[in-house]
Amino acid sequence: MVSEAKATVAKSIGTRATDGKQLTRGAVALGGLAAGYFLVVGLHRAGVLISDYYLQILIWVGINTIMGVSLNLINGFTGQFSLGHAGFMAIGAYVAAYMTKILGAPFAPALLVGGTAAALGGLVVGIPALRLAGDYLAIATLGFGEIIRVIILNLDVVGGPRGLPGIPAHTTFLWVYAMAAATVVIVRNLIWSRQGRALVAIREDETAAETMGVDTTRYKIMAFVVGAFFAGVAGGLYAHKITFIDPSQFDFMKSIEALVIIVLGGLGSITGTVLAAFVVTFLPEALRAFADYRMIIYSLMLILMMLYRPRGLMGTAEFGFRQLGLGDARSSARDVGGQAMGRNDGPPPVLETRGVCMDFGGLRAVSDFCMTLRQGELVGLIGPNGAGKTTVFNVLTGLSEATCGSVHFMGNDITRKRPSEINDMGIARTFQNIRLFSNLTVLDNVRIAFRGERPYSMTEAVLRAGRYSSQEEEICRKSMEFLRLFGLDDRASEIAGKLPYGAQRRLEMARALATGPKLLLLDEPAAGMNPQETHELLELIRWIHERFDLTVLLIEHDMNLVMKLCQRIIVLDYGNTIADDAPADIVKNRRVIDAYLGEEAV
Amino acid sequence: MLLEVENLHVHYGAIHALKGVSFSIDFGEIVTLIGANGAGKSTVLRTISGLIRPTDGSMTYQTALTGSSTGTSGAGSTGGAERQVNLCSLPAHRLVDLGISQVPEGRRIFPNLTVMDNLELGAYCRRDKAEVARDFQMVFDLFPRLKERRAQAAGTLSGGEQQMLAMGRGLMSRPDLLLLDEPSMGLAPLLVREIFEVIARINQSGTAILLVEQNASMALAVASRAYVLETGSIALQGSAAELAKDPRVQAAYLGSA
Repeated sequence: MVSEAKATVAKSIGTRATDGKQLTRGAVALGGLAAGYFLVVGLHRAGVLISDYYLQILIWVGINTIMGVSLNLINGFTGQFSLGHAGFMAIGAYVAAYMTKILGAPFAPALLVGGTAAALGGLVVGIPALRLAGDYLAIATLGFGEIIRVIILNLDVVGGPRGLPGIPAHTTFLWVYAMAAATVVIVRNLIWSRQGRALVAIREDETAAETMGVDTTRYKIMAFVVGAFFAGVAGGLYAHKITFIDPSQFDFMKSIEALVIIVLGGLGSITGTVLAAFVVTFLPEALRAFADYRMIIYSLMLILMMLYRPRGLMGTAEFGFRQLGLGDARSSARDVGGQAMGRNDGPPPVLETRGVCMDFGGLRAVSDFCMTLRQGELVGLIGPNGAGKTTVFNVLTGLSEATCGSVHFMGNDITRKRPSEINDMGIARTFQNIRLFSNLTVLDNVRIAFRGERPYSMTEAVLRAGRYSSQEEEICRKSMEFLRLFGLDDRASEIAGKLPYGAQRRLEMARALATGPKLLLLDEPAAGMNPQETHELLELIRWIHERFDLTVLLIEHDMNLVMKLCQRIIVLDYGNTIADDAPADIVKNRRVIDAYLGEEAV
Repeated sequence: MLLEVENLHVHYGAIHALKGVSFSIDFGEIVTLIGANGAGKSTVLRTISGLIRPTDGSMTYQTALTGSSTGTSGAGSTGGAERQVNLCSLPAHRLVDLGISQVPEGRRIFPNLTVMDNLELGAYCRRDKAEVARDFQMVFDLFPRLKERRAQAAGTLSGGEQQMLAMGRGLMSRPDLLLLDEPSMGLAPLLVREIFEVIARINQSGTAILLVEQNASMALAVASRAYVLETGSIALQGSAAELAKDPRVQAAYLGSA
């Protein structure tokens, strides 16, 4: 009790300290932004450095920044290759222009409605994004952009192919500056949150993200909706800057322009995008002296920049508070105390499969698979290569849908549930061919998996308000706790893909446990480990089994490990269960010896 | 010596992964590298096959081939126009031509191509069609399971079958030196023994093998010589039989504490 009270006190102090720093950061950000604005305006008024001409260019930089940052949310952070950004901009531009010019509405609501209309477009595009990926998605979004353009071309109320002239020139430097700053802050806050980690997890490995409980459908649509909203705002600013819009301004090349900005800046870097918006806007202007050769030189310079910085100017790095010495404790590893545990209360977990079969084409990979796992059991699933063991895991975790039969977990039918739902209910797994989010840090891998009872909302994340601070603090603390249990706490800030093999296996287990499972499925955890490491693994599995009150199902070929660890062993061969018995009886089973163990093992 | 590696240094950025590793492999020999995870075993293989550039050291490879010819000569031959090449200066794809073939850790098969296509790509450098056809037969004899599944996309194979395919693909270039990275990983006990029998059989046909394995007892049983790698340096070396009896090796790698 005493230690608990101490932990609470320590926690509240910690939270307050963080809040203090957060306020400082907020003040610095606001002050910096205001100072930046007044500096530009002051210099402009005084006629030093910034002429009218440069102020105009800065306005374009701002619009390009919004365009780039919003696309980076979709492309760079979520990894959904979209080529339809001009379409979202067109919606925002036309809706906003229609409101101000024809309906006489003020600028602010016009921008907002334009952005919202574009967000609706994002919702529409988000739906194909659920089924498509990579090049296919790029083509689909490209098609979407063209459809928008053609629709506008045939829409007489907004001038059709003649365009929409005489739009009020509302877009001032203040507007653009404020909007660009708002976009950067909101997208930044979104990225550095629970939601942002989910987006990045989708980019890194969608399947692994699903099995860690990330609802990929929801988050992909969210990325498209938020990205499209800001693209729409950029479109509105664009229209009220240029005062004349026609459909040809929003063609494929506009989308490419946005793509150039984010690729040059670095996919997954907001500061990189801002920097690239400067480069891409200023460079063609600075090269005006070369007249006709201007665009050739510009293109060559882009090629050279990409050759020397193939991952963009900033890669995925950011320039921010950390470089200014105002780092966020939550985003970096550190020593934290207290006791962490998953959600292990509730009724006793029982898994039951009834007559599960699984066909791939004409091939029956698993047939009539019946298994009951009682609470707290440690069961081995063995069998020759290709017997269907991993397929069973895929069915249990929802990655494959059983052709027939049903799977029941704690009394619920989970046969047709999505992987993220199944993980939410309390089944977590590791993968035979390790599927970490390999470009992210060790800590982030675990943090993605972590979820609280009532996680904070997206609004709270963007505003850095409500439960955000305390929960982030807790997620970081508990994640570090898990890393310590697995001996990885001193590597928390290393990139997961660079860890040695054994450490990657341990991290995958830590990540699975962080989702708070009741049933843990381990797919060949000892593969690639030497006897010494296997022995340590044995101890580790025993220990987590006890400590987290888990039921464990284990696929493994290391019979030494299986025999020592498991209370019961199920043997599969060609998709059929050929034995289900205690270890001592399994090694004497003739069918198992013939199919799997061989004579020498007896 | 078929391959003589001297004072090999490899850096990954600031990390000094190999710190002056020296070893050799003779014609027709099986040499095994054992060590813990992260000791640098895979790095050694990847450096030999040209996937990683060493920062220092030399790798002298004795080849009976003229370089541009294909892998038609009998493996391990010492006669003919022999010459020495420094592997450090050659790109990875040229090494296949010189008779070095790697079976990488984690299989790295081409998942969307069929089993046949994968094997055919293993013979990419060869022009001797009749011999290639015989090697197909040889691979299918070694791994009957692959023959059953030859028209299937390799990505749909189970983990163990993919391992067989990776080995089969490595053999299709008919190498003089085969680099095997964890060939028994993820295989059922019966298959592990089979794989080691296959390794011995491949070796009997004259192919030298550098074997990296976690299953140290099996590796030491099949190899003639062994090196123990610890954090980027060779800690022990000797005949496989001697090392298998060495108490330090037994404690650390054979699990008989």
